[in-house]
Amino acid sequence: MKGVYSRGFFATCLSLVLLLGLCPDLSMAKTDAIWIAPAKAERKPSGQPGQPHHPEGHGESSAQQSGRPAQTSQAGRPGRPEQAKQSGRPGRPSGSGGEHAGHGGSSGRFESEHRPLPVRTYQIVPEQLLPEARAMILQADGTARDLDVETCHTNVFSVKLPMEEGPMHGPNNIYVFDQQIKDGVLEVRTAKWLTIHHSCGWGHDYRNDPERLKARSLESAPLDIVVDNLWDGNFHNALHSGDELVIRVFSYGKPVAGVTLTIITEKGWTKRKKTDADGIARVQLIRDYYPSTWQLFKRTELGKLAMTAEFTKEGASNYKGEVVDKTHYISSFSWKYVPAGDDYNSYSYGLLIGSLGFLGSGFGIFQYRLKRRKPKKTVVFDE
Amino acid sequence: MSSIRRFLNNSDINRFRFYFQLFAFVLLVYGGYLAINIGEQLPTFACVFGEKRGGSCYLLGFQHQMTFPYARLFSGPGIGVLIGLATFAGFFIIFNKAWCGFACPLGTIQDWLTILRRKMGIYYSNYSEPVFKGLSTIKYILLALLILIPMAIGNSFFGLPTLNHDFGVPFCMICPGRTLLPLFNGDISQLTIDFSSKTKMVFSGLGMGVTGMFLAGAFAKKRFFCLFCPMSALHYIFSRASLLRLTKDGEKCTRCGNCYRVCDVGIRAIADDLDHKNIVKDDCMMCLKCVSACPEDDCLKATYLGIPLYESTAEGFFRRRLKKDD
Repeated sequence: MKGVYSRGFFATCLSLVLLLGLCPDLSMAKTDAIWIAPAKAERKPSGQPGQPHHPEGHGESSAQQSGRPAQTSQAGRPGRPEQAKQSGRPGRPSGSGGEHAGHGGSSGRFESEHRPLPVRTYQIVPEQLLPEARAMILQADGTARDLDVETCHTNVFSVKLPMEEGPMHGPNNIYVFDQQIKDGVLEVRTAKWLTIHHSCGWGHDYRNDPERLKARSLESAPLDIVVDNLWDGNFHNALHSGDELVIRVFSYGKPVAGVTLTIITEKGWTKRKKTDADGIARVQLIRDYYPSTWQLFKRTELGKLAMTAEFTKEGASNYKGEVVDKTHYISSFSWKYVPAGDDYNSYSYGLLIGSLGFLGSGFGIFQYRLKRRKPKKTVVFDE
Repeated sequence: MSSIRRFLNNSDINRFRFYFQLFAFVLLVYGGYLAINIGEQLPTFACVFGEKRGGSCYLLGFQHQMTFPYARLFSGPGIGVLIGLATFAGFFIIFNKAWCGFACPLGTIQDWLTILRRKMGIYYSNYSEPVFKGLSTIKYILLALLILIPMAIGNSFFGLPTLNHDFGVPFCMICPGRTLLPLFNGDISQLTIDFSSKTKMVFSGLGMGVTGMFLAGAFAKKRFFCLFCPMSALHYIFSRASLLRLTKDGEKCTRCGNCYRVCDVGIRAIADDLDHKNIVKDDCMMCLKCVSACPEDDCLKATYLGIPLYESTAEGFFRRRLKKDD
């Protein structure tokens, strides 16, 4: 019984409670999957361990807005696992969207879209990554390179981002892969995270460059979830509730049919779909934000969604000298969405006010001109 | 050389301006289709809300920068503000207020409405001199507000609470460019009232009201909105340093009043002022119609770096007049 009440047990229980609280249907989210989430160290300036995380999550955004040297200090300490541990909450699947909220929740942006950082630090959750795990980045310009994963610590890794216009200016895909044999099946796991590296100072020339903005797939990824149209031309998240998600699933660069996609929102809406022959699944996102009065409405209210894709491939394969009959591929990706413009914009009122402005001005001008019209002068001769 | 100069002076600047405006409109509104981006600090209403714009109006970025707290404004990021202002000034100095007369998409829309009115045979309206003077101060008030309101977001004035970020770009919210220019990209999303907050609701309501007034006003009065344009007020700060100038030789002026009568904005000073050589006033848009309408040799002229580009000549005046009478 003593072991049962150890600190480790409490930590595990706390982790599970938080995970369940943030991701309402964890079974649906597939605990088999690994997830990438920005490390807590990134969201907290140094010297403030244990600072409670704001439920709305202002994280780095607020630090930047307040002029605190959070990013500068982070830049010098990439991937400090101690801080990730200190930050309080244990790893939760980013699929729950929690980390998204931590990045400018009030502004509705994703990882502070228009505030670049020289280094971004991520952690892999849950912390079950195998030692031979590897990480890669597919840069905004389409080139890929390896990243270091400090698996000896707490699965934390960092990505250096040059603070200038260049190959990383735009959306960058970060991947973590690992594999192991479990119950006679080779389990191949992929986690994906999409980050933006952009400063308005570098310009918006790419807004008309579909190549820079397009959703990409990494050819070496065992299973890759690619969601189209997540960015608008100004590098803002373009996903709104009610939108149709066009999800493409690739395995080693080729589309895969029959992959089971599971999408879960933070509020519990779930959707399962299989990819078609082209490896595409279309899912209409739910509209799930209905405050009781319009005064309570927040157009930046974040909805969070997690998605997993998985399929099993029959056939013998060899891993580290061990032969298995099946390979199970699983991949994860998480994103966020904000209320659709139609939820709070009114065309009828807009056109009504515009028409009133037009007619009122027109009438005013007419009256003004009428007033200024000079009557014809007639000269009457007095005979 | 003299034959080229004669050809230029005899030419019809209005026709040239019409086609140049069309070109500038296409460039600034649709330039994005060709991946053209002239710059983010343009001294003209190349509206940022238009997805396929070929450049961006400086006022949005300027208002955005004004939201910085004093600590940021007067430290490193302040350099960015100065660079932005210097870029704006650099663009402006090249063409002076001809940005308004030849390039502004919102000005072009007003000129198209004027053509429509003329074709419909409706006579235009004009302000009386006292009304004109009174209204022309509005642009300075708007310029002050577009600086002060965003500043009150990042800083507290007199201990008052700071404003929320919905006040971030107050002028853009009421600018008819925001509502009208995206329409040319097929985007009608700006024609709405935004009920997501009270501030947004008020601003978007004002924006739509101003749009209605703009359309009615520009139909009845030539270049109706230019009198209230805070960009024009910001221009005037740098106008004297510009390479393009409009000069007047008061000794050659006979005060016939042609220049005033053809002025779309209605600047009386252009006819009355015999003392100043630089005749560019704060409301002037350098359309050069006044030069075209002047019958006196060398009385009015547009110069670039001191080199005359377009001068008033008796010959040019009569040629244009005869062409019109034909």
